[in-house]
Amino acid sequence: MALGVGTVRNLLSRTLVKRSLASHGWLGLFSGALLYLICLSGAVVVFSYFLMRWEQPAVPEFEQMPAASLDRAYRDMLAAAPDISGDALLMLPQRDAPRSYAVSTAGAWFLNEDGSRAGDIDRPWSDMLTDLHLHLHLPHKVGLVLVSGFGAILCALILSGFLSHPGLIRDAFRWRRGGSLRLEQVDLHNRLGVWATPFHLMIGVTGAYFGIAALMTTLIAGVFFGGDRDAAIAAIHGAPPALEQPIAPAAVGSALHRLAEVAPAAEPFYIAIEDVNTPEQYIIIGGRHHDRLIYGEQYRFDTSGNYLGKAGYTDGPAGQQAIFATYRLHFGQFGGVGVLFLYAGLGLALSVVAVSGVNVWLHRRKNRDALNNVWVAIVWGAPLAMAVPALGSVASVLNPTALFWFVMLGSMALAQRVDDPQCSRRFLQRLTAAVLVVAVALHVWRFGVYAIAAPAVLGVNVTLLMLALLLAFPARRGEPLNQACPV
Amino acid sequence: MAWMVTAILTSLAGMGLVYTTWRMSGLRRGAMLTALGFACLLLVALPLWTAAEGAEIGVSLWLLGVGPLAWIFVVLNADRRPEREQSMPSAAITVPGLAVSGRQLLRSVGVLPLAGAAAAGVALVLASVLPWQWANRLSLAILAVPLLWGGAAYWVCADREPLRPLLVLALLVAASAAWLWVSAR
Repeated sequence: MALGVGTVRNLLSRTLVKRSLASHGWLGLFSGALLYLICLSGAVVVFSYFLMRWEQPAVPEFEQMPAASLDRAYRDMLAAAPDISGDALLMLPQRDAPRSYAVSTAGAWFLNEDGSRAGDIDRPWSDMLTDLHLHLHLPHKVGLVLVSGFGAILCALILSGFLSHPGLIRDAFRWRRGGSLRLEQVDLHNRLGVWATPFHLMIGVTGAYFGIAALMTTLIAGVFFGGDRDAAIAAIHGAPPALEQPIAPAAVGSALHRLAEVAPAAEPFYIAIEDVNTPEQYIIIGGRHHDRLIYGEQYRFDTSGNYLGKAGYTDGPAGQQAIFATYRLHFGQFGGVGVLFLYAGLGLALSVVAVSGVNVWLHRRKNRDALNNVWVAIVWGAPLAMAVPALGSVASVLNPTALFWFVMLGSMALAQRVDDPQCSRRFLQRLTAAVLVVAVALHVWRFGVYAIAAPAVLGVNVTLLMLALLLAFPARRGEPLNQACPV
Repeated sequence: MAWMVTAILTSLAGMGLVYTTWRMSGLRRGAMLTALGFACLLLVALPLWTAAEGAEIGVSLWLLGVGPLAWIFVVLNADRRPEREQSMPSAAITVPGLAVSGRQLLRSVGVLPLAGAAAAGVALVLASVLPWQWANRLSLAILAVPLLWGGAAYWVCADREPLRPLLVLALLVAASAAWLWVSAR
């Protein structure tokens, strides 16, 4: 190539490439296993709303909810717990998320179209998957910061990966399949890693944000605002309204009517009552703006439903808009189902990058030891460990988090006992396929027509069966089975 | 919908042109065609994505779409070779010695808490000197931390002298803390 190859080679000295490769290798091995769990669970969690609907398919679904129904829902919430405190939330149904629910210190429950209570929120499987992605099942504060650290390490891996790859353009479309397994993994790692860099970088920065934000807000408060955390939050997100009103139930219906007048382009998707049962109480209506990446604009109203103004995410300072865009950007919550599949695909690709990187290191070694067994158990035990709690979810008996780690440890013990990575991989793949088929069968048996009536729920069941098919008959290199293989 | 389809097809055409050029590597016209391919990708597809989905979502989809589009051509270009049987002899796991473990632990401290603290310190110093309004300064500081942290972590692992980045990062933490303490008074 006349353009590119020479230029890249000249920019990267041999020493820089060597040191960068060493850095990339160390960081990759340091973070590989946990990064893989975070990425794999992230690729699944992209569909969390569909998984939640799969877990509770009989919940009433509707796309519109009258303001009077929301008034009733809020009144019922207050009646159930008159001394309710903190913030209360009413999620409104939308076209692509046709359910409504209420969350407060009194509990969390779904709503019927008339605002009456429809049943408690109970989604242990999708909550376990989300908790794995966000906190690695650790205590939330510690887990969030640790996962954020992996976002930063992902940035370091991207930098070191580029600086250790002088053949970036020469190999741009190269993929040597078959032949040497190590070269196949090298090409897979490099091609997926390089071409999906915009996604990886975005995921690294926005993923790190969620844990870093709380720590940085504390530091910012200490440095710039004399320790006043509320002032620091107000400087970034805008100050809350200063109100002093008689304590009364918030007029959520009136506020919703008023929103249609002041911001007709905004599609309301949640109502939050802040500082419930205090003189400072006010209403926030979250308004979706479909051509924007921001999570939503916050329209504020006093207890009586009088409009106070908006937070300014739609037209405020660029930094404020950027901060409020991290959620939808990280989780692909824009552009509909197509974008969700794009995110899931890119998330899986990032998981493959993490796995193939470690595979390359393992294949460089002259010997095979317990690490090879543990690694194959992590890689192929994780999908199994994520699938098994789905059975628990349908049968409603087991703690999904304990089940996840029990299966992970069991996979490791099994792989070490078998001592044949190819054999262990094939066994775990087929076991995962079987578990997915059983999960779908149990789901249909338990929920009957609900398991196939709603397209979203049916879609999950069909996807699980397709995954089972792919895992049962993977297009793989044909390593021979040895006699000790349990399958 | 029409804008979206046009945007996807244009991006695909641009990537196809880049791939064709890459396949023709060695020909003199290669450089010019590469440039044209990227121009097609950059200059034509981007406004189409923007017209289809608005500026923010359009730019995001345009950037995120590059990888999947490129992979169509990577798969097309795959060089399939006969599989080679590769078996590695089994061996007992080697447990690293105390000195090696100590070095790795030190490096881990450098990569996680030290690089993170240095990144946060530098980001806050940056926020304290920028002449923008608070929301922009603070948002930049928060969003810059992972990038600075990543750069520092890379250096901790890449430097031939393992103690050098640790010392410099420790100094950066101390210097930024001193700067912020003085400016906060």
